[in-house]
Amino acid sequence: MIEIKLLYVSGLLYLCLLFLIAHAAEQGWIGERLVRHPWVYTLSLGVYATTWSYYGSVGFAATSGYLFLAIYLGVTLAFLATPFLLQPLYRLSRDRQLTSLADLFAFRFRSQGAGVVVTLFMLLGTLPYIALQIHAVTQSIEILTSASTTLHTSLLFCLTLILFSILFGARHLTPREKHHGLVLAIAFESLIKLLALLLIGGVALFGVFDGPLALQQWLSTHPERLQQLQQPLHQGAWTTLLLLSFAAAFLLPRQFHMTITENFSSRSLRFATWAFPLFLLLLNLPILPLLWAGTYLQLEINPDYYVLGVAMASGTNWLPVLVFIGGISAASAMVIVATLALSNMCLHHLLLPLHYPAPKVNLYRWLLWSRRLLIGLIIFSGYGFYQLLTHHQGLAEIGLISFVAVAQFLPGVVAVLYWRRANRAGFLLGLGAGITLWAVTLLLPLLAAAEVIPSAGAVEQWRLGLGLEKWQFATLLSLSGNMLFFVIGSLWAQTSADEREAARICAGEPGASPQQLVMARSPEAFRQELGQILGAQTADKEVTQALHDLGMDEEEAHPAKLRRLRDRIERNLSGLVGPQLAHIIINRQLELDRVTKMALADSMRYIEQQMKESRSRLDDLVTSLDRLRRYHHRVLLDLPLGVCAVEEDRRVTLWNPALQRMSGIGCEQVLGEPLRSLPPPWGELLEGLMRAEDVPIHHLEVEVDGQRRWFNLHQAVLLTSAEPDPGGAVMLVEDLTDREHLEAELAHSDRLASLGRLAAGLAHEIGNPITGIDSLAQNLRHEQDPAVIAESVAAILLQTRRVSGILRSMMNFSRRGESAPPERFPLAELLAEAVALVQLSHRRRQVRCDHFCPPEIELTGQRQQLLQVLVNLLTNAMDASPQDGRVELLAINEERQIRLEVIDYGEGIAPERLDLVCEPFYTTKQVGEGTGLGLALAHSIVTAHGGKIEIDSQPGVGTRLVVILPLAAGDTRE
Amino acid sequence: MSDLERQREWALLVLLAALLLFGSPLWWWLLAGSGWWYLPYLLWFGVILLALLLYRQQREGEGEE
Repeated sequence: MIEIKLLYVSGLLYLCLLFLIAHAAEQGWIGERLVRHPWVYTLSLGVYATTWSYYGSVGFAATSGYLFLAIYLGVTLAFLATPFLLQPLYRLSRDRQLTSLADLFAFRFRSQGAGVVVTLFMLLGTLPYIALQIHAVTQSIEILTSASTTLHTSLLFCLTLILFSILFGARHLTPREKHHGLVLAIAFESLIKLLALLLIGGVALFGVFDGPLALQQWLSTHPERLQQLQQPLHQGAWTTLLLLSFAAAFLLPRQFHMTITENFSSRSLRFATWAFPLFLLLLNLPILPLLWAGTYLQLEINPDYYVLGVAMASGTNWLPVLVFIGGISAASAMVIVATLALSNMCLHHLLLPLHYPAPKVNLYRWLLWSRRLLIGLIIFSGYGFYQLLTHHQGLAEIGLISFVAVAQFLPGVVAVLYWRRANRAGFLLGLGAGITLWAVTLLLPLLAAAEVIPSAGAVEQWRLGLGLEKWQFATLLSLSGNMLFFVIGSLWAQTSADEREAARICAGEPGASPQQLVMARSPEAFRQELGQILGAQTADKEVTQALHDLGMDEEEAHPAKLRRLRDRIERNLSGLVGPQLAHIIINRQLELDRVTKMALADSMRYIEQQMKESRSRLDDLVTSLDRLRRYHHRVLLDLPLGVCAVEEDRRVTLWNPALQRMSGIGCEQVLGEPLRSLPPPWGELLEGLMRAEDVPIHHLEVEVDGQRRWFNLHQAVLLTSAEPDPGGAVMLVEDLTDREHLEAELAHSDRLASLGRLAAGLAHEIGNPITGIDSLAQNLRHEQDPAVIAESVAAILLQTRRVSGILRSMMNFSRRGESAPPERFPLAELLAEAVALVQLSHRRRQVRCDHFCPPEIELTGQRQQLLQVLVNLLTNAMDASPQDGRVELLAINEERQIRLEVIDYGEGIAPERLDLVCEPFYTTKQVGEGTGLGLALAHSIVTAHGGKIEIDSQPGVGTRLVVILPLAAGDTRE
Repeated sequence: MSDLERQREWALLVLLAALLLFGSPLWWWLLAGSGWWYLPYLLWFGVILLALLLYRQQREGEGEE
């Protein structure tokens, strides 16, 4: 027998130790590496094992054999399903700041009603479990003290629990923060109960039986003990129990709270996939030895408490006290965590919607004190339920009532993650049916047994007729009804747009890009609007926190970023006041502009940001689409051409790096801005391109930063048949400037090369007049006759003019021509000059060149370049002609164009070479006689003048080369 | 197939194997008439080992080891 005071003091000291551990963790006295260790998280999940596991498993094994293992194997299955169930729940809750199951359902179904129903039912379903803990602790005290407990014992226990629950979970001003101290304390409790059970199991195995072999020997002489274990398996309750424990593993409020809400890393969850089932296995190893030890010792107590009985049979005082501490561990952990979770739910879904505090009240302080009050009320309600119990029920029987209750949420959770068609009508109908059937089959019989209400015999008769256990019958009936009405309701009722959006988010996809902008235009405006509901201090804190989370500054005014800020504030507020209330507050205070839509560029950036931030696992199709999107985006960004895309209202949605380099305008400067607002000349250039009917525009000369540049411009309109596909256009800008410079250099080089080839002829041409001048000058020395002198002077002047003309032609030809503006000149003069230049060559002088051009034709263009074209063409024609051959150069006026024909009667060009002759560096001449650039340059110059070259040739007959040039207005003199 | 998809497939396989072991008549058949009272624990431990192997494979895939 042990003194009750000793039990109370040791229990109290133990709880103080727990509080110290929690406090040390929160103050940072314990290293964060330990606090955040995956084993700490795993052990904290051990809150699953309450006094039902600690004491009741032995009793359950005594009545139901191996069935007791199903309570833990179901949990193992739930954790093996982590990638499909727990991970998505964790991600969703973290991303949306959902702190309970009620928050989850209220968010998914966009329904305050869903939150209320879930909270109330969760409270109702958890009260038996709290009562069970009080019952187990008081029973254990009675056994250890061998005396009946009074009302005060249980009440004192409850008050202690209230105090420590508040100390553990309701000390911070902002309930959003994770409780590292609580997690560490609960982990410590799990370790204590595991060690206590393993120790007492060891005592049973080695103290009572003298070791495993002795136990085996005893079992072989008592085969009925093993048969008793196996027999209940065949009664069909196994699968039902697996299902219940599967659901309980994450749906019990304490389990959801520790697994999801207090979890700080995804890695810890993955670690727990194997580590938590291992913990449960170790916890259950001593159960059967304890059962047989109790049987062997013929303990005259309820098998639920064989743990204590075996400890007491050891004859020591410390062992029963240690075992009692383990029981306190199990009970207190459950009550503390469950009440924290339930108080959160009640706050978000019952209290706040009913009575929202006035703005002048400090919201955080109000929330904190409300939580403390709720903790007290919940524990007292559990105490009240405990008083109702007949105290004849086993711990397992009471615990299963709660298990069947939380199992009603299983269809809802599966639907949240995997069934988009589910809606609030279906959910509420299904849950209503499940709750009703649960109450009729489990709760009411419990109250009838306590004589609170008259007994309902009909249902009981039906159950007995089916030969099912009470909880088995209740599970099958309630879950079936739940699912049936859930499906019927969801298919019958309409799903709102809000619900569809929430369904998309819950399925792991980023939400649709927001279209509407916030009416408030600055963070300060946000504060003023929110302050009307939250109070100035709270509003300031929330806006500052959200700005900090998004890395934005106080001066932010970009509409799309303000929209992100709004969404972030809503998420943060969800953790404080619940998702539904947060949604209502934000919708009311930070209204959206229903008219102005977000620019497509901003929507696209919003989606990009969401996809980066959400870290959601994308399924196959979405991953592939995302990969494709990134690839296409990369292609556009890496194109060497400038790309500018605009939406229908001419706002820029894409401005690639090539265009940034060309224009010197950064991408950030222009995205979302209208084309007309771009710095000159780009705004006007691109606006003009959008309006142009005749596209593409080739070789457009533009002055950019005082320099002449040339561009090819292309434009394509994005055709759309209907919303929601966006329209707009894509423009390509090809920078030809470098090519222009290169071609000019090439043309100049070609002219110099031509001059080089003409040098011998030039010397001859200049030599003849010089010789003539020399002769005339010598004669003049002795001449007296004025008439002869005058004639000689005239002849000398003619020859010098002839030389000057030749030299002037050469100099003109050698000049760089591209900088001269287009000029108007008589075509006949150009033809004559070209012929004169070409015939400077002795060899070419032997080929007759006949040229004809109507005198009235004048051309507008680059005279220098066109002279080069004619020189190149005539040179080729003359080189192809035989000695004493003939070349014709004709100019024909055809309406709005001039046709220049260069005809030779030489060797002609083979058909297979016709396509090659205009290629650069293609030549059939010997080295030194030609570069192969003549025709290529001629082609380029003619094209630049808006003309074209046609070649018609027959081998052995000759070649006709036709240059067609457009005539500008007024190019023909009347 | 990406690493993530492969990991999910393995996880599903382990889950189905555990479901088959714990939730089907296979469980009763294995325990029936067995003199080994600790057999359920051994089978349970086997499933935990599979889960541990899967976890280690995931960590290797993420380059954490």
